[in-house]
Amino acid sequence: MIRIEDLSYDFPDGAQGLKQINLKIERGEFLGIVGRNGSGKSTLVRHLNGLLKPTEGKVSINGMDTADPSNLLKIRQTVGMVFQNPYTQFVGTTLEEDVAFGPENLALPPEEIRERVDRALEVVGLENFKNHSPKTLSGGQSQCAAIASALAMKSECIVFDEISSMLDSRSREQVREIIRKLRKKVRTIVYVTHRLEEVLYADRVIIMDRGEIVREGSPKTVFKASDPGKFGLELPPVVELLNSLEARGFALDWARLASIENLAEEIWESGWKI
Amino acid sequence: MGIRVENLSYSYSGNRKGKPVLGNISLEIARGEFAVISGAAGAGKSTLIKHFNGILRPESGRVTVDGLDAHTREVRRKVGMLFQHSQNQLFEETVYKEVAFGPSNFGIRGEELEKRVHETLSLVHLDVGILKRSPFSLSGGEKRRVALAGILALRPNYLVLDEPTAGLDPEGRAKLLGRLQNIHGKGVGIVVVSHNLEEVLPFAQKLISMEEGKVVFTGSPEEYLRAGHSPVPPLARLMKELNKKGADLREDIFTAEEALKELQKLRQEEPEKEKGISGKGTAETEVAEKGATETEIAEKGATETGIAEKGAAETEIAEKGPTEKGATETEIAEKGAAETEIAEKGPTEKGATETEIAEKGAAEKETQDNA
Amino acid sequence: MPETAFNYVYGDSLLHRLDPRTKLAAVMCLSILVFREESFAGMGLLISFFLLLTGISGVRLSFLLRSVRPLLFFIFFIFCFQLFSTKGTPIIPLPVLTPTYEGLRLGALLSLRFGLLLLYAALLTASTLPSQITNGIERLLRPLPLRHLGVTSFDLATMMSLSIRFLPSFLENAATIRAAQLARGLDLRHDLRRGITAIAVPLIKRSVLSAEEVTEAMESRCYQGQCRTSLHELRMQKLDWAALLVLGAFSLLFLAV
Repeated sequence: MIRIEDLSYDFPDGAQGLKQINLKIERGEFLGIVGRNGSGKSTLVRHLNGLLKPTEGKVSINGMDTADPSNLLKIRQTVGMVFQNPYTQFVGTTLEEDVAFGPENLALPPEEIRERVDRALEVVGLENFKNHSPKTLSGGQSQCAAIASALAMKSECIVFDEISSMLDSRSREQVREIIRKLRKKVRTIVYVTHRLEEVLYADRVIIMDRGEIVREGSPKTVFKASDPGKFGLELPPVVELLNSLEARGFALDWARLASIENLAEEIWESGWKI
Repeated sequence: MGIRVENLSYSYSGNRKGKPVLGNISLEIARGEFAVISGAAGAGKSTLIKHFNGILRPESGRVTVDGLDAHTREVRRKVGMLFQHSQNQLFEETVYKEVAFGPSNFGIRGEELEKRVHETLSLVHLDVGILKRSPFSLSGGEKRRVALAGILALRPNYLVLDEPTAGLDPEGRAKLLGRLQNIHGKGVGIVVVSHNLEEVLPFAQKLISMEEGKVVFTGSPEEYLRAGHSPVPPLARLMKELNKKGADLREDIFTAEEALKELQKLRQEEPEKEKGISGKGTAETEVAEKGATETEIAEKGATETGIAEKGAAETEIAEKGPTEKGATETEIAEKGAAETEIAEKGPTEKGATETEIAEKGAAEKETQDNA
Repeated sequence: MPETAFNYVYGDSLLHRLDPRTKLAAVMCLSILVFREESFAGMGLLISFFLLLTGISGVRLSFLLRSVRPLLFFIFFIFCFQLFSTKGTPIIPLPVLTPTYEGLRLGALLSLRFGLLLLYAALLTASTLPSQITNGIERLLRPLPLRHLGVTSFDLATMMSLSIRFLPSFLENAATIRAAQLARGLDLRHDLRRGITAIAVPLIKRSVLSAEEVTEAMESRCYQGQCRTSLHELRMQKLDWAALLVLGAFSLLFLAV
């Protein structure tokens, strides 16, 4: 559904942001994008909904060219975006107003907005916080609100740009839980992070460095084959453990390793029993 | 000596129905200690540390630093404090002025000032050439380092950092923590406030865990994990989960090696399986064998998730050619060897490599704020 | 404290249920009355009316008074200025600044006026969600030919609600930056000018950065400033017309007496 051809991007100050990116994202796919700060991940995903325009090359969403301003509204309806900072993307004065902001911009009738808002809040489990102001919500709840806001747009694809990086561990877990839930609903998901454990169960992972895609493949092959340290990343202890388990002839199903509980079960069931 | 907090309570004056932000806190951080204060957002961590250098006055209770009342000017200097988003606190025209701002506020002038600026610059691995530049022309990572230098120039006896790893990638985090360990090695007490326990836990000598304005735990990281407090880093949680299923494993685990050792205990308790391992031989051959099975598993994975489109992507990778894959495979084998080496050499060695990386980092401009 | 000034108080009173446009109209109308009033008796009546409305709203009076507190200094200043600058019969003959009876009267009247205006405004914000206020203003402005000025009523409403939304964050950032500079030994008492630069420059930088992020988030959610709808579409009820009728009657009576 998303097609990127020979995309290059230079920042207004002349620095090169992206070099010759070619990438196809299929409907229903969960794509993980990892890389160090400044590697171009965020610059790349800002092309997916036309926040940035290619300096060279082409980005098309369901056949619509992002460089054509008349497509923008439709593209932004198709590709939703959740950002890093929980506070600056919360534009409403209450939770439900924030979630309603998108549908309001589409000039939908109030009844439909109401329905979409309620639905979206239910998915993220915040239906009891409708009238809360951003001040009384935790960082994790605010990020869940941002996810609900994207859901209320009913986009085909949602891009998550480092949504967990400003959260405490508890909130991060809460957000990951919701992403896992969304995963099951087979939406196209593009998930940007520098925490590799968050994309263990992705269909495909790409590593970016210096504006280029340097590795691509299933999480299992990418995290094993490439030394993430080379790209400023770090194998989280859990992945390191997985790798050494597998090095000892242990076949683990990475697609199931979305949570520690699953991993424990996997280890427990696969013969390491007492 | 040290930072000593006795029966400290604090509540925002406007907030009357809510609970106090800090409720009767007592704690002590010794001079030269590496302490971590952890807790979820809103637990009162930031409010607590603002009492350490007298920015906030206790409503009741007492805070002293090396025997001095925290509200004295000398304590302001003794306790260097770096707040969240420190890259945003810069305002001077040049980096030199920026670093000199702190010491000059305490009356340091002339040669002494110049000496201090240069000295602290090397502590954070910045080049002298940067001094004439505007702080606003720097990358996000460099700005953070200038901000840190600005505090270090006060020659503090304690360095308190509020969420210093927020927004950093693993590399940046490792560099920063390496730098902090360096500074700690020079006798400066470090207090790191963090809501990401697992990131800083391995560095801590003392852990202070807060919840809703109260201190709920004080002690070593090992004690913390053994006592079953939460939140818990992922590996420790894995052990916990396995223990729930009936295993009997240590829960004070930080690294993959330790975890693996513990997991092997599971295996040794079953005699038939044990034969299986010993027959397998060295690790190297295992990796080689595994290479073959690996692609099989990958293919299996594809069919399992059952998404038709994915197949296309997979073949694309396959087309990219076997040479690349082969190359990377030997890399693993090599890496494996290197890894065990590091494991044997222990943590001191690791520290050394980390500082190496840090030094290298100066050249590799961290362009994080460009994005 | 800014956290309690002009805040919304959750409730379901008659006042809460009124259309924001009705309440906006009422506040405007009452403000005119307050401004025109020259006698203490009339002021007393307007204060009684305010107390009546507060009773209906169920909002505690002390809460509303707290909104005025940050501006007390300003009100006091007005009072003093009038007290000393108005010519007339001196209360006590002093050489330079002479308080006069006329000044006392005028100062008291002006302070009352100003305080009462703030209280009515506080009652409006306490019984109406900020978004509802902006919604109401947007609807009132919609017929105006703003397009020729290059903005739409939607733009104005959005700007207003964003200001309300981000004011607390702004203050919080200011507090953090102040703390950071104090930690670097900044002494505001000794060098105020430098202190202001040290706080203002980072604060502005930070705010610009945040504004960019907010813009991105809004654009990503299809904001275009043209036509929008609202989750809470405004509808004038019978109650609103009744309230406007009561208000109109009160105003006419007030002016007639």
